[in-house]
Amino acid sequence: MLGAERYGTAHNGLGDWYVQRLTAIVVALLMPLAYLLLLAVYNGALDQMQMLDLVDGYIGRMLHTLLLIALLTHAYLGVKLIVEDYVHMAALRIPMMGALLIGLAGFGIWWLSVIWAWAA
Amino acid sequence: MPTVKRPSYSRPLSPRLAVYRWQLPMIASLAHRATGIILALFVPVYLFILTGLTGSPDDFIRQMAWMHSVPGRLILWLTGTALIYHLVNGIRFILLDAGWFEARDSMRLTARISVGAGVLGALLLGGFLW
Repeated sequence: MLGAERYGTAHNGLGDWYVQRLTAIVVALLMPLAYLLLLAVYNGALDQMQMLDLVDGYIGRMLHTLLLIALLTHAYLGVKLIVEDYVHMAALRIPMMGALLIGLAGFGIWWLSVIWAWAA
Repeated sequence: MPTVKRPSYSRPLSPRLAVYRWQLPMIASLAHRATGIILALFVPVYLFILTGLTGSPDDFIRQMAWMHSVPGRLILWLTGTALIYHLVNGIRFILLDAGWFEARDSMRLTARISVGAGVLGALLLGGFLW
């Protein structure tokens, strides 16, 4: 990447590349918190009320929202890269990408509705 | 659309797994993709767990029972291991993009660290879950 003079003929690869890394950093910072919280609940270190106190505050909901947007964007770009590398038949690749995009967007909307529907 | 003259030989359009000799940095890269797919597939499972744990007290008890069942533990173990590996190797990739550890020897050493972290994470998480 260092010293590259041109970004290639597609002209939009750098955007994906950059967003993939930006979202990676957001996920790397927030995902361990979510996973440790899950393990603490699994272990019985936190009961349901203590866990809800941590996640249903305004800050918890905001961080969770930030995490899910970064995570789903990161997942979309990552799976897109793999599909573009290995699925050469356009008639298969394009519907796959469409299904992936709509599927992840659907999960994102559901996920947001779960987070913001918790009674405060 | 202009017609493109294709060369008589077929050039590789993507990483050709069959022609390269297997090496640790290549395995680390492939494992990053494989764990990424596993983590993408975990998104619906995460939502299932989240709705259960934050639902009614009965939902919570049911979800905890599922998480402690054998399939639940296996899924948490597999995805947790994938997460640890993907996190460590993801940091490695970002450092590589920044121009650090690009020499062949350090590529191999850092790949070894990523894979080692994945194995260690798998063992620790396994110990925690069982």
